[in-house]
Amino acid sequence: MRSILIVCTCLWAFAVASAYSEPSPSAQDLTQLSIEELMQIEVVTASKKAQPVWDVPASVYVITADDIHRMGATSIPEVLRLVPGVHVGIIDASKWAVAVRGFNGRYSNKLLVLMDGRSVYTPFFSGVYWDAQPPLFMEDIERIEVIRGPGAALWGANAVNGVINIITKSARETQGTLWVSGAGSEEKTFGGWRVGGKLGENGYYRAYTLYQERDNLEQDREHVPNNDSWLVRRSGFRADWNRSPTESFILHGEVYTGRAGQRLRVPDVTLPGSRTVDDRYTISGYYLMGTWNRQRGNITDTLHVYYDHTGRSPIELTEFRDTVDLSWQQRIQANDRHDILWGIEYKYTSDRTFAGLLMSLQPPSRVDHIFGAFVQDDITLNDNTRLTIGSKLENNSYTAWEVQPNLRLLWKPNEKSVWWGAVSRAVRMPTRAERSVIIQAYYEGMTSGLPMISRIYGSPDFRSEEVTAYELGYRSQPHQNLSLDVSAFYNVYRNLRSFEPADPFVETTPVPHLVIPVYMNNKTYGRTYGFEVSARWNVTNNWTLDLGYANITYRLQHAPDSKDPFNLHSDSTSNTPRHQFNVGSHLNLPRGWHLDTYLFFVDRLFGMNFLPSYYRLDVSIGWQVTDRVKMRITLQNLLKRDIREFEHPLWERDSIPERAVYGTISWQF
Amino acid sequence: MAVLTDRQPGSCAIHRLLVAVMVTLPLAVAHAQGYNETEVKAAFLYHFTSYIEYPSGAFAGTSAPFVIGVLGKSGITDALQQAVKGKSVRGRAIVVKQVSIGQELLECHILFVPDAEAKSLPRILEILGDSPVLLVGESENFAAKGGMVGFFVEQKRVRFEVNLEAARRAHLTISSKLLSLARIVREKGRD
Repeated sequence: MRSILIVCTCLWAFAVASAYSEPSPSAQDLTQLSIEELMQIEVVTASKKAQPVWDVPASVYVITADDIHRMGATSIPEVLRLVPGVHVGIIDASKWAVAVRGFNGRYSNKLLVLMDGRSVYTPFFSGVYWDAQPPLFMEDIERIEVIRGPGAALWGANAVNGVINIITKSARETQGTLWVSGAGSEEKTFGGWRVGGKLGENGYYRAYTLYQERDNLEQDREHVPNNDSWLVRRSGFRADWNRSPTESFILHGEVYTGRAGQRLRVPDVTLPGSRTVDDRYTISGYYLMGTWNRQRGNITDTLHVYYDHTGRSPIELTEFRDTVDLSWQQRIQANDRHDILWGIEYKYTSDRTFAGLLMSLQPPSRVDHIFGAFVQDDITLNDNTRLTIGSKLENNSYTAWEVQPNLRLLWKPNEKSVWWGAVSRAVRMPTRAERSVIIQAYYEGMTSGLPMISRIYGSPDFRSEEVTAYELGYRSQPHQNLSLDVSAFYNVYRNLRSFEPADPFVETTPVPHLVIPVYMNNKTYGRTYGFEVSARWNVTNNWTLDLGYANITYRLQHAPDSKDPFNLHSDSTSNTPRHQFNVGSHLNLPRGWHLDTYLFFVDRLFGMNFLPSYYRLDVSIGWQVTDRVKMRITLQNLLKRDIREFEHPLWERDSIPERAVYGTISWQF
Repeated sequence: MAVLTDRQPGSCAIHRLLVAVMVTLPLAVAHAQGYNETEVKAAFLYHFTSYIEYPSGAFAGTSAPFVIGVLGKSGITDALQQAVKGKSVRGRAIVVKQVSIGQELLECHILFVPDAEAKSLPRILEILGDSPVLLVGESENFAAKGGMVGFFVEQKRVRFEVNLEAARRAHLTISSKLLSLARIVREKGRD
């Protein structure tokens, strides 16, 4: 069956390619059209994708609305697979491990994720609860900017290895009514409803509600469901009001709730051993966000305020968090030479936690205040050269002041190519967990007739992790149909987290047992280096190829006085593939059909368990039935039925993504 | 590849669906959609030749050709040459040529400024003065910055905006039909 499939695929690919790779009607034919007809035909914009980031002295990759639509993705992490240098691994039906330039994990902590300027990572572990980021209306996303490398000088602490910036469309662009519905084997049902309209003379709004239900993944190859199904609902609105051409307001709010499942492995000294616990937990949250923007002459002011509440009650730990964030920034295009951006920010974040089966925090509640200020000057040295110099200064309640400067240089030898280089320093603040968590980690077996477990303790002495990054990049458009982007990095890390075991002690409740305490410390250092390449080739007017490759090498070690038992040799504990590549083929077929094929290669992982390398093939077939109706079928994991993409955190059992198919229909009216 | 030869039971339904889709899809062949932006712009430029009225004196003689100049090296030159091959406007042959900054700009009737050359706009305006040359560009706000016609892409379609003041200064009359299709912009002051 499989060989038939492959033969069919090849034959079909050739048939399609030969049928459609002929050049479209030449310009001579186009002149036969009237000027009105000319205005109606759709064009493929050659390499425009690179345009917005062409002049940016940083490693930026932009995922456009079209990329998202063509992929048929139903979640943000799935879309991020397109970006070279980003590693995405499915943990279970509702959880992903996502990281940029290494250090991946469920609790990967060197990445900042923003949605319309609202931070969605949690200070609990400095990472993102992807299970609490239910589907957006994917149609509402204007673009996703992925900045590889430190973005701390602008964005602040935790933008250590990258920033993911999700930007939604203005309400003006989402007028009318949209109805989306879909179903499939793993994506059981999903759908949503959006209405958009005008508010007075210059205002627009949209309101939306959507839901998504995902089936369980499998626990092993015997098709045992893993109790990790996921059901989420989200409702919200956005209003945009232009008071004048130079002054605008945005108000944005959402409410979401969901239920997710997980299967835990809990150490139990009374057995003694580990027992499996099935857990269904709720996630919920809401936020309200306002933005005011005004341009006066050469000065643009932006005021951004939001309040965000999240709550989650998994069996390991219940957590509620309230965040208020105020920021004001000003851009001054002083003259031909200086383009200055500066701003100040204040963040209040308060949590309440309740000890669960595996974790507790000491103290259980805490309030943090973070103050920050940044300034950046973009200096045009001459026609071809620009220098960007800037720094962020931040005060947090754990480590007081942190300085995060950067220096960037951009050189355009000609209109078709750009070189840039950067040196920057960034820090990752200690997380709430690293300072105050207690985790019942493992059952370690019997020692001297007593059961023994390991217990991880956060440490009040935990310091910030630091990176100094050296980057070099090159962008080029060697031909009008080809664009190329290469960036290389050399990151030097200090004070990375280590786990330091201490002498075991005896506890008498519930039964006498030994505990090995393991304290979090900062005794790891080293460097990583690598590069990313991405290319877009418009082979014909109807066929585009995207190519991406990323490479990373780890050279990390423990300080001589560290007793960390984890082996850091080469790639271990890094949990990031050394090589990754992807090929995307985007074919426009006649009568409104689209065929999009994605091949991903992910190298083996040496984490807690070895995971072999894999290829993943996804195909998405779309059909623009009429101006208003679109249909799409997405097939995932076509090559192999059960690819294990990511190892699980210590206490969870493996989940294996299955081969999946789902269809979507959307109706705009 | 080991991946391809690895046999797994089950999931036949998906395979069958795939095979069915793959077999039937290529049958739905019709004309291809999605044109090259450059070629569409070239076709627009060809059309512009018949919608602009030039003052007497703009042409050296009754048989002098209509010259479309493209500033610098650009893919549109080829596309334009294809587009105007064997065509004429009001009895004049249409000639496409690549030009560079200098007096030869004044020999053009339409001058197209590709995105890559946009920064030369102030210099171009200086050379052209009020000569009857239709200045067309594709960079952001080209028309508002003193150009006459600026292409832009909106919802995957090529549109254009017109700066009437600039055209008037050059003594060019743009037909009302063309204007009815254009977005009219005001001069924002040259920079």
